[in-house]
Amino acid sequence: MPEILEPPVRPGVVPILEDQPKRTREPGYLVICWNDPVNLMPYVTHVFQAVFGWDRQRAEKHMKEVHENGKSVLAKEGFEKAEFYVHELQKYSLQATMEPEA
Amino acid sequence: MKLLSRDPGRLVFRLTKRDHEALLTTLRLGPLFPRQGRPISRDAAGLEKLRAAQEDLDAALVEHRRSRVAEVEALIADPARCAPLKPSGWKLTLSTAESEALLQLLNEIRVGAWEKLGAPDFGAGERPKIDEENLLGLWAFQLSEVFQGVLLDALVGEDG
Repeated sequence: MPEILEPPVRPGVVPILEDQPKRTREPGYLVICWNDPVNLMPYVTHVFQAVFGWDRQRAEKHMKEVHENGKSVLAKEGFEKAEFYVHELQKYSLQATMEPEA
Repeated sequence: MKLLSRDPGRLVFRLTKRDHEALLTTLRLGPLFPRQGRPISRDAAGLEKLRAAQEDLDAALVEHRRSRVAEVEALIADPARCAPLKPSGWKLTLSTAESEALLQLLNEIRVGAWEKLGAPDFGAGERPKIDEENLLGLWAFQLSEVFQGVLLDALVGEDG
């Protein structure tokens, strides 16, 4: 019987995602906020800060993307985390969805 | 409604008698403006996993609104949080989290009222008809926005 060798990973070192075969990765979901004509811009900025813990500058950048481009990709996550973010954003009445990564 | 003072994690507002009446009325009008369907996905709603997630989202949002309404109603009714001022007006004391709850609920009412008005794009010049049917919606939409503005200004100060 051939000897089973442990993978050469040093103790305490977590292999980074890029080193893993693609088939083992969970499919990614994009968390997208869509533009709407009702939510106020300062409100949207505030919600991004509250939900993602972003600083004002980053939150405003995404808010402007939503306003000017019709949408902004806020995060790329596994299913459960993306679902969590969509719930939080929709609790604030933002039009947020999760879309499988192409 | 004006911010009176701010300590870390604690915001104190002064409401005139009219502010107080307007806030209570806006909150009472909330049930007239239930939100419409909110999709969890635009491109992949047919995926089985997302169909189940849509049901979870719908249930979570109904429960969230119910708990927000209960939380805010309890705050407004609590004399330690919402107390009359002499000679007139009211003092409303909220934690940051409670201010968030009120902000969320007011926006929920505002967006629900906007949907009931036919979801007009005000920026594109669309205006709802001003008639008896739309009057309460317009009122709730405008008043919610006024209170939201005060809360947002106060919370931005909290962010530093």
